[in-house]
Amino acid sequence: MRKKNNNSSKKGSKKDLMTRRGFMKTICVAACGMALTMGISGPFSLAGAAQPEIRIGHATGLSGVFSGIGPRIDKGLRLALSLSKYKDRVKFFLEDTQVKPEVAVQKALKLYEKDKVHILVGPIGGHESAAISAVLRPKKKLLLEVYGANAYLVGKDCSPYTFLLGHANYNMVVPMAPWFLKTLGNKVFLVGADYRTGRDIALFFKEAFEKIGGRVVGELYSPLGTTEYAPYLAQIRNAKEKPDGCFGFYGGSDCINFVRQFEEFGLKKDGYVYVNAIGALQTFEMDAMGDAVVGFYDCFHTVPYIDNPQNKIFMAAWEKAYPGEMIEENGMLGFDAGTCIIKALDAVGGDPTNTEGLVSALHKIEYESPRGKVRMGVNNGMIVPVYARKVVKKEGKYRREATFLGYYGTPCGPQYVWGECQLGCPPD
Amino acid sequence: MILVPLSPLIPQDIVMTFSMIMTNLLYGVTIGSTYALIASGLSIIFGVMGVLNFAHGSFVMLGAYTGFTIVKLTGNFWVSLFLAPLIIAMLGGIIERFMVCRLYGRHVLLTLFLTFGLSMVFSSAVLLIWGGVPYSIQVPYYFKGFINLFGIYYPKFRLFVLVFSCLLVTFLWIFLNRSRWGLVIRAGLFDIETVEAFGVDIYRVFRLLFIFCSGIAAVAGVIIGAMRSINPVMDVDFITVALIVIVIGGLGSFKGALIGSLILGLGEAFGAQAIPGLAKFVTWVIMAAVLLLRPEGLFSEE
Repeated sequence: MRKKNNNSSKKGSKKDLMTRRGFMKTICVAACGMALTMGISGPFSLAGAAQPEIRIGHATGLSGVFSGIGPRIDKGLRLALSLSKYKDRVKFFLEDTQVKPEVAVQKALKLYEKDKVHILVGPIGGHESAAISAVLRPKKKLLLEVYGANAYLVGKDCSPYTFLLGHANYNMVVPMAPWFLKTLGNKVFLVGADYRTGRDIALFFKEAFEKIGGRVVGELYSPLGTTEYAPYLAQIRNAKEKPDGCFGFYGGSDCINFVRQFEEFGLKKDGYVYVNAIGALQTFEMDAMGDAVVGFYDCFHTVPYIDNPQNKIFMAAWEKAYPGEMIEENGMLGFDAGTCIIKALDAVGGDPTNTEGLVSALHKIEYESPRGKVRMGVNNGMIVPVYARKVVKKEGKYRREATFLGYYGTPCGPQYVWGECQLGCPPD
Repeated sequence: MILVPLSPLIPQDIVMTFSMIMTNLLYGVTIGSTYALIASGLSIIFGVMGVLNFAHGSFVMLGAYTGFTIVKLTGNFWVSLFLAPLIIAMLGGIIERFMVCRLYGRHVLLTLFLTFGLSMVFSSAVLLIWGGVPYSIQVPYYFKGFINLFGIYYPKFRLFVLVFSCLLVTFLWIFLNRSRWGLVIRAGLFDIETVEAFGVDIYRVFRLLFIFCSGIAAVAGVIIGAMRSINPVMDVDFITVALIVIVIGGLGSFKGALIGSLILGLGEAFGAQAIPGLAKFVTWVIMAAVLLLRPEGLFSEE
């Protein structure tokens, strides 16, 4: 090191020359680098001037109880946009909300303020989506909810900028009452995880079921996160009258444990049936539930492998993009959210900065989706096809036998606890 | 037994029939016996080594996930029940050799911080390797279904868990009370310095103990993973359970861990039956009662 220094100080002129050359080199490299960077992401590049980048933020559950769901929605979302004409202009920003409302709000603000996203696809939990929507509304920022099933978001807390692309619990439960009466019988035992969603679903069902002449022979709610259901199952068995079926909501791990133990403790053998609400017999959890789940029902707005042209397109694209990955509900819902974004962008000529234009396009969106025909209700809740789905086993694989129950959105108005949406309410 | 309705949380017409009592009893003991496998390791490690191993629940989780992968690869539950604990025991050995051993003789909080950090690393690693999808370990076909026991249906696999855990706990009991190693460990529970003065290489004892207890936690992981679903947040459940058990039973006591596990298992079972809405509350009430009446635990060695 020292030797080199001495050397260069002796040959001062050459050193100067080298420095100058070095300086020029640095400038060249820096200039090339800057040009390259701007070409890729900068708004000042030639290509970008006419076609601004489309920045899509996705705040979802990547850890915690929804860690099986979030990454699949993200895959579907990316897939839809990668097939569109916007594929070269789209940039994705993915954040983990950890299923905590306060984290979800932080991440949503970070995506809008730091990453400058144009569109935000929202979290999974209803409590997270409500928190984000409340913060984004005064800022006039878009929020598309893939799940976020919270009826208040299509009721008194509705926002012109928040769209519920899936369900809001109510519309996945009420259609099941007449189906239950017709298919299983008039005696139901209500079960569920003891928290807001579990209780709400049981209540919605009870009201609708009793109105059409059904009877509730027992009710039971176990704490959220219960791992052992033997004592609860014993109470179902010891009910005064044997129910024609058990209805209620368990999700994720709770659902797996409940379904498996339902079979293990002999209830299934003795003719008891479990009907879950809002699609909680998720396809990706079937292997964990095993054959215990065969013959049980749930209710949802997507059916994997359903026979319609849009779903064929989705399945082919999914298999090509993610070979070997199972086809299931969440990927399809992410894909559908992507389709909504594409359709909204089409309506505003591909300008993602035109938020008002996107909002009005989404507000009247109507199209054929892999789910079936969907359209946005006046209260910004999607009106979706609802299916009762029976789990069957075909050639060693878990599949569904779906019964179409009709198109349902979430109603609102003073007669419902979630109140009236100022954007208007769809007719009941 | 008829409970007077106290609040809307209590079903108004609950009558405990004989079959219900038997179900809860069997189920409580089964769960309690698996808790005992987890809690006894945590308790002995603390008693002998002075290390509060917060990553103990992670060993249960890692055992379950490793067991799941082995069953998936080999299709054999028994291979997994043997191999997964070996792998996790080796992991425990590595952790003791390179991390925990540096903190011997230092404040107990330091090992708590270290192992707490490790537990976070493990849960992220599980998310990275296996993803967030819940799994379940497939049991052999002859363990599927249920048998009629005293007029009640009880799953065959649970009965196996009950017998297997009880055998393992008995083995641990004999090992601790009848073997030379057990003697060293029991002496270590009282006074580790005297044990060292007798010429025993206590660091070797520490390492083997850590390896052994990690392996036992993984055994519990495999059988629990076959009973319930496996998910990336289950480690918290089990470290909580183990901590409650040792609060009830007394830190550093094997007997305490056993009795504590049984109390917790039965408390959960009958609690869920009698007051479903407050099932989890029962556990905490038991713990609070012990803390108030006998803060050192029911069977503390001190």
